Amino acid sequence: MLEKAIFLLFAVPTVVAGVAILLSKNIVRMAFWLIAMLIAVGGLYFLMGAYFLGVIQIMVYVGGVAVLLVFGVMLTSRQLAPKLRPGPMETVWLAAVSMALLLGLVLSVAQVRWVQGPIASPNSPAEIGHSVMGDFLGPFELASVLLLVAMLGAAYLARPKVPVQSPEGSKETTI
Amino acid sequence: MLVLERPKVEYRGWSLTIVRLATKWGPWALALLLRFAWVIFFAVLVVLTAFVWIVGRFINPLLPWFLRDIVVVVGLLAFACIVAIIGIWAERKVSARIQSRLGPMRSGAWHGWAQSLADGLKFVQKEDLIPHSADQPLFRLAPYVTLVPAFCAYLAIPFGASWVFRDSDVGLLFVLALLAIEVLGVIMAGWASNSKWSLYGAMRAACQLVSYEIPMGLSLLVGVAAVGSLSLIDLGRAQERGWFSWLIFQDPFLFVAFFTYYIASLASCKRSPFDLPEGESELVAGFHTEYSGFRFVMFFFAEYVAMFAVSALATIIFLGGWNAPVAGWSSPWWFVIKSAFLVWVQMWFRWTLPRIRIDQVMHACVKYLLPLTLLLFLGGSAWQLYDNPAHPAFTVFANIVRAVLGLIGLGLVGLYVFGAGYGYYYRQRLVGSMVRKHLPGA
Repeated sequence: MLEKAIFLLFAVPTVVAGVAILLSKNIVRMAFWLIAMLIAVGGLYFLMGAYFLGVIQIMVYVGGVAVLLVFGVMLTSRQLAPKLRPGPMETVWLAAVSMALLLGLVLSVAQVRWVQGPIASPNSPAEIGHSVMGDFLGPFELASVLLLVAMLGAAYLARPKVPVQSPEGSKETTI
Repeated sequence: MLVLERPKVEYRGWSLTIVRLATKWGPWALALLLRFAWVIFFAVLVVLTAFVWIVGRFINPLLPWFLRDIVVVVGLLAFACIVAIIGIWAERKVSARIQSRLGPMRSGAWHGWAQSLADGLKFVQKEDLIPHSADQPLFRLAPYVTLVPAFCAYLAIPFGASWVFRDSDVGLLFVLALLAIEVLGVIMAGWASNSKWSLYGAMRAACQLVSYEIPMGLSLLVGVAAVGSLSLIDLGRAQERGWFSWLIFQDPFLFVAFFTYYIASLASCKRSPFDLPEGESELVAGFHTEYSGFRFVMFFFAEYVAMFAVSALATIIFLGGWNAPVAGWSSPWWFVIKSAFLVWVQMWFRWTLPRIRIDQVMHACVKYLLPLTLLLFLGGSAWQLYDNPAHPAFTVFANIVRAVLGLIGLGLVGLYVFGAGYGYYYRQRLVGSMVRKHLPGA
């Protein structure tokens, strides 16, 4: 009873915030709704006893990704937002792709036979560390390579197109 | 006289009625309350106890557990509030003493101790202004998003080996995650205010806090690698055997990691010399420029609550937590005293060091602090590989290093005590006591 109430306490905000992301017009509001959703999902992890996962969810997504997202959004001008409307042909394509993705998701959720049972060792970061460095070393390394590539790409995009001339020929350039 | 005639204001709404009644009957009620404070306190205690007993005995066996949690959470909230109130008063006194002033002297009986309470009362009465073009819901929400996570961090901080609300295997990460949410409130406030000062403050806060989170976490990881646990209780228990067993003296990497953590924590609390997000000389008041009244107080509270939280982390992970310098004398008081000392050093920094520029802040993090903490993490991990019974020669070397580091620590404390004492003596000899007898607070 109590667990169900707390589940609703986190699940309802997750859904509401998810819908609100789609419905809100202001891009910064969208970002804050997204953050609310991420925190609520973290709460669901806590409820399931996966404390490490919940804490990492909040730390990485809310503390890192979401803050950088809002930071980037704040730098864009407010007049840019109305131009982001899709055209009629794009709407059809977007609808088709989204419907296909949704169908896939719903089907996979419906097809999987869910096992209800206690987590083997819910409270141990050491277990997670062992499995990441053992069984799942391949995917882990792949993810880190992907992140490295993304970082290099970002650095490439952000580099000045013209070499920066330092004033008075000083060695170090200060922005 | 026309000037002295009070304007006839038609009071409307409950809040104004409450204010009017409070100004009319408040002094009487306060006097009565203070006169019978002890009676009221004991009556409340008796009633609460009876309530808990009745509920526990007759209504629901689950409820006392729930009530106990509520009592502990309210206690932690009260502690955080007291920390903020004392911290704000102490900040003003420290700044005053460093600038050869007296600071608040008149509220309360002793050295203006009630100044924060008086300010709080004043702020409650202030009008709650919201700019016309602000993003209303986000503007209203931002102070809560800043303050509540800072309070929640106290749920996982242990005050003693058994003095913790919830011990978790990931207590350290929990505190760090909640302190990371706090950044969000600052950005929200800056953006929702729709003012350029606020927006600049928020952007500085975002880039500074996100950058400094990494050296902060890496410095803490050196300590975590030395103990092998993320639980704050385990980290404290590992340092039970007196001064030389404190983690800061365990190896040279930990010794340096304490200082890098402390610098990064200054930046993560937006304290000087990294207080760019609210740099008064450039940005009016930074991200909280547009806030007034109690919403401003909430930002102020959040700052001091977070200061104590990061100092508490430094105390638990590097400075022995609740353990005394002599083995076996551990008590929560040690924890509070050490954390309060670190908070005090933060204030001391603020009034000693000049504010640095935003590009210097980023350079300091990315070019110096980040590589340094990465090296510390590597070195600390390598030290753990060799500092075990399998390498007896290295263990001897490690013990010598420990002794030397412990003695350096003792020397630093001695230097501080000598310096502070000599400074006090020197000032007394030059100008005598700063507090004059004719001041009411003296």
